[in-house]
Amino acid sequence: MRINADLTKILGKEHEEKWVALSKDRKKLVDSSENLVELRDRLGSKRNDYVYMRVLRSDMEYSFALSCQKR
Amino acid sequence: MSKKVTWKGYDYTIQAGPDGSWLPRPLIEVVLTSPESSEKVAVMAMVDSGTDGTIFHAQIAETLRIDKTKCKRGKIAGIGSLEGFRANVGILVPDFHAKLEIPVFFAENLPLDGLLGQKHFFQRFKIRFEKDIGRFFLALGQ
Repeated sequence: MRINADLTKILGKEHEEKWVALSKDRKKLVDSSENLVELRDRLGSKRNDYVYMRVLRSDMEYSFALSCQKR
Repeated sequence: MSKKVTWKGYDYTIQAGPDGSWLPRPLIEVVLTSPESSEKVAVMAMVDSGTDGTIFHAQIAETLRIDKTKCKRGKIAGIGSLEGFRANVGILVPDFHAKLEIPVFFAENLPLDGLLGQKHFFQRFKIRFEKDIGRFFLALGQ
């Protein structure tokens, strides 16, 4: 399966900071929501047919150097 | 004699960045499962050598029906910090049929799905970043 690596073709500003459901080849945007649980509920029995992604804002660059602290 | 390593190549995933730029990121599909339910969820996680452990968005834990009130609270730090909780989950890497059973920190307000860091992912997989050609490569470690 050829995977689409260019998500700029299917995602826009309106999807930023939301969860999106993508086809497994990432060529098609299926649905989006601010809440992952709601999104999967809406997709019902087909919810496991998709891959989910939280879309980052496009107006900033990110640094993810993170470490966990045990309490 | 050393065992032959079989590499699988991936394209960097291109997302929109500031001022109309493109930001290629090393994302792979992983499937998270929990011993607490039969739910599973496929998400796009970033291979991140700068992260110590394994971190996912807290809404993924909710999807897996993990009861966060029974989980140990914690905090992650870096540039800024996030609150969250820790739970044991399974992380399947479908391309390798490999499964990690590990403690994951579920961060509230993480801006992306998840980060696969040094402590678990980098110990299990060999990883080559070749950004100059827009590709990165994974192989199962020893």
